[in-house]
Amino acid sequence: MNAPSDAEPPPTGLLGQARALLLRTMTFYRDDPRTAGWLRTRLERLSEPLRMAVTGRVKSGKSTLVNALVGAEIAPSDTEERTQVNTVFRYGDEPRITVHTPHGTQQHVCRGKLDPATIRDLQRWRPDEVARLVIETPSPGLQAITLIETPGVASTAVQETGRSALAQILSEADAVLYLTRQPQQTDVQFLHSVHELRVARRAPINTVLALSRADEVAAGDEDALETAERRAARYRQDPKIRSFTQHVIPVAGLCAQGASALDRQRFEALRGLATLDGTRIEDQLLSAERFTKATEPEGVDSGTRQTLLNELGLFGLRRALDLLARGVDEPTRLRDALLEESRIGVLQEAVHLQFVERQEALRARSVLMAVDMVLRAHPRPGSRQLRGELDRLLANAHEWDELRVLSGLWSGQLRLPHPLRQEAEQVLGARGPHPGVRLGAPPQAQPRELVERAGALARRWRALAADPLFDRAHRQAVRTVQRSCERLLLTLTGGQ
Amino acid sequence: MHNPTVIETALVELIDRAEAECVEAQRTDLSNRLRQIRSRVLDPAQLVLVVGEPEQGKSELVNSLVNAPVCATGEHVSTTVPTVVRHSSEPSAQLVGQETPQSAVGGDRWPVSIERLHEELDNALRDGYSLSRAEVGLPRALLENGLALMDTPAVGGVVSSLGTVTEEAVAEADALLMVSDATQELTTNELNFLRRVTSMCPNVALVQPKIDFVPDWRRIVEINRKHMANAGVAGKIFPVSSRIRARAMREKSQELNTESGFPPLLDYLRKEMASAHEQLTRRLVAHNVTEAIDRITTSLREELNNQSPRTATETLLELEAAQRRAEDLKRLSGRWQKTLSDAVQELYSDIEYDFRERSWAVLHQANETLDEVDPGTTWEDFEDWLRRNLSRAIAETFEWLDRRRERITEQVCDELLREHVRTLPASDPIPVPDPLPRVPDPKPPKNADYPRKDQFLTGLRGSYGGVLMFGLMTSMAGLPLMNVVSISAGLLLGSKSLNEEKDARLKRRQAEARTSVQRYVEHVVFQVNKEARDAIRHMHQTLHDHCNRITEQAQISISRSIQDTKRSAEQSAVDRDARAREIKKKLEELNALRKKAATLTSNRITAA
Repeated sequence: MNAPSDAEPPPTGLLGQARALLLRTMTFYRDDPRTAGWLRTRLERLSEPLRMAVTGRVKSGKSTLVNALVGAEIAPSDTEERTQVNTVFRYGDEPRITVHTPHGTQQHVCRGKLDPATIRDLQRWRPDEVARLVIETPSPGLQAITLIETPGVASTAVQETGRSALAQILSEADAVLYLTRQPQQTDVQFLHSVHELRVARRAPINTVLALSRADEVAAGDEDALETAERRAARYRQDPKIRSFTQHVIPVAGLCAQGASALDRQRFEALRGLATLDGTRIEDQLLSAERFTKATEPEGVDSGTRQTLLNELGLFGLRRALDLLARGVDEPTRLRDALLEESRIGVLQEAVHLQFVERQEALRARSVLMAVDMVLRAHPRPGSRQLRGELDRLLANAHEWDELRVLSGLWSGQLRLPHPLRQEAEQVLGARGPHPGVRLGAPPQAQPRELVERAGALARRWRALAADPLFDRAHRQAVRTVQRSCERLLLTLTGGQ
Repeated sequence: MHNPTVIETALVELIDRAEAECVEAQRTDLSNRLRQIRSRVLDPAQLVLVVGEPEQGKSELVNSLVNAPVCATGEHVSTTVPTVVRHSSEPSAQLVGQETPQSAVGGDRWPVSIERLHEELDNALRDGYSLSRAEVGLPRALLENGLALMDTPAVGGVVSSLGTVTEEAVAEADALLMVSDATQELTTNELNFLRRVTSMCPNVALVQPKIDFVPDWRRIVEINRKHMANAGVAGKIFPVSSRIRARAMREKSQELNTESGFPPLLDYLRKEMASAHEQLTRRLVAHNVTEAIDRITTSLREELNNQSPRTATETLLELEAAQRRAEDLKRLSGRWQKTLSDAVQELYSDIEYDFRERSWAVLHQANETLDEVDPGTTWEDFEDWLRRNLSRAIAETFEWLDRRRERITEQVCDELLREHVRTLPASDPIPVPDPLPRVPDPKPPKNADYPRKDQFLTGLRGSYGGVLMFGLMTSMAGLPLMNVVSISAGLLLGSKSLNEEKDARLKRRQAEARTSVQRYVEHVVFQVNKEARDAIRHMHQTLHDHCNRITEQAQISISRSIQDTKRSAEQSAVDRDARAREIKKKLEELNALRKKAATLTSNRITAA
């Protein structure tokens, strides 16, 4: 799925309709320059990469995870939480930092090289001095998605103004990656407040909850991530959390960030450490402090130790040394193994599947939310027609239902027998949005064949929908699949 | 030094006097609190609460302190019932139930084996016992002086009710150990919690476990010290590591033990807490007594200000305002009563219609099915299906009813909102009834089986005519009566009449089944309507009572204020002066008492 371009707006899809509605709203408010301008930025955003907000509790590892997702150290992390400014990381041809002030002016701070220390200093400005930082860098990881890092929820550093900025950025983002070490009341309240808007309630599809710093669970033992995974599975079943997200994923951001920074020199240092015998190294790894102060073996000086510890964390170190002892002897292999352990891949996949692949539905959601907000904030004679149009779109947004069922299937909330499940995923567009792919037909299939296939599928799922053995949630899911089949049939026959 | 018992008596006396003042001022909330404190003063145990947010390692800390796995830790358990660990010569454990009017004082107790404590606890909770806490006794030097550690449910977790349990327990604690792991600084929530609990229990220390995990825990501790100072919370900070402590215990290594950070914490608990028990109690008493007195003083001051003589216009204005309020109230109660009765009437007819519609859908489907299948053979499956569908219809109707109930409650309470604080009545969701067992089962159709003998007879009857007819016809052609043609014709006709008979029986069965289903569904509809009506009536009653109570209270307060105004207008200046003098005297008394309470601590501090 590519970012939609101006040249060929999809005429029937939800995004196309949402876009048309946005244009109409813009025309309707053309004599109100502020509103129209705001709507225009929304329109322009449709041709930019998807915007994902990375937010969460204080010290939940937001910066670390941004680095791990981008694959480079561009977001500075610190022991103390002092970030008060929203930072936008996006793709650009050359590294550049731009500061936006609350009065609307922009200021280019530096070009050429990005220095984490400068960024950190800028992030600590007060929100009435800096509205947002925009950091451009040519990282390939940012081509498909723009990341917005926000100040932490429940932070002692953030003032009230910062909090309203946080709410604003969340209303602007197409998707939200929420980080917390374990879901607590504050998180649940916060996420509920984000989902209070009507459009958001209709489509709770844009949030992924990451249980970050999973390596610290159970005191960083070997099986910390398995423990975290089991815990995540339990939260997935919690109705309070289910109501706004279907994805709860544990991730060890530090370990992932450290693994991607692993070079030959660090690898050698690790190998040096691995030559020590079991009890000695265990002694060193008992605590972080012991590790930095240890003197054996001599080849590894305290500076290197400090770097390794800061980059990998105690859990990462333990895992790395364990892997080395088991015979992993190549930097690349070690890196891959560590990345695998950190589960960053699972998170990336979820982000990709949920957000990048599904960007049309998410963008449509953002556009409709914007229209809803404008119509709500500035009602005037004649806006009722637009409102009616919005309601019609909301009621017909079958794409969102598809997404919800798909995530339900993936996260295990919905269970279908095996062949049915595969078919449902296919029809709902898990492998791709094109009718041929959805119907599972060979690429060279004739239109006639496709129609027949769609008809057969629609009949089958209609029969399933009448099956009394399904409970309510499953019946709804089956009906959604059935409706998808019928829609496919409709597109294929051109409405005849 | 003073004699402890003398001091204790003095403290109890102080509390009693303050309590008497509270009772006189009709502040039962304050006097109850003081009574709680009083029983704490007389209890020799020093209760130290371990509190904090979820998964910070509270239970682990308690386990490390006493060096035994007494509190359940790990991924799949979160503490739901407080566990108290105190001294005893033999390891022992018991579960303590909630105190109810039927139970023994302080709740029923069941001794359990200490190894199986967690299992027993889980079992008891699963069986629906309401437990107030679990108690564990251990022979530890640390606990010998009467120290008791209490592991509490987390505050701020997804399950909010557990946090309340903890906050209630804070009121009677001697000291708190707040647990927040060293991997990050304190959050706003934690600081707010600290600030809130220090007003109830001023002895707080912050324990930061997991220092083994982060290299720069020292900085975090520094930051937290700043945060606590900014929040006005005084308390020591202990960075510890349970992991290193466990290792030290295993290897009996003194050096490791020092590194784990536990010795200072143990010292603090053993020395400062134990020797300072007296001081802690004093602080606890002083704090609570001064606060109670302050509250009473404020309300008395207000009354004193109101004692100043007022003019006739003021009185008149006040009276007018009160009268206006009374009129408003009358209008208001008329309004909510109308809203309520309208809504309930509507609901009665809606719900009846709703279920009838649903049952019709089921009936329709049943009839369609019965047209096609033989009810004789599939009756059991069919009955099952029918029951399931009806139960689902009932469930859906009641779900809808419950939603309507919520909406009506909100509507009616919204009417009240304008004048009074909006409170929703405590009403449970309407349970889905199961009326099916009360309805007699639908009768299976009769003559389901068709015995061979009867089949044979019917066949024979049919074939008889055939044989005779064709036999006669062919006999004209010179063949005998029983020939090939006549016999085969007989067979043909015999099987035809057998089939017809079978068909007719099937039709009859289907018709019978249909009537029986119809009757059954009617029965169910009747029962469900009755249930629904009962539920609605109950809801109506609850809501009506709730609103009535609010209105009545408002009524009472208005009439009281009218009376007050009248009385104070009639009251002579002399009386007013007398009351003012009385209040002033009382204030002086209270002030003296407060000073006495305050000296309790200041004395100590200068002495110490």
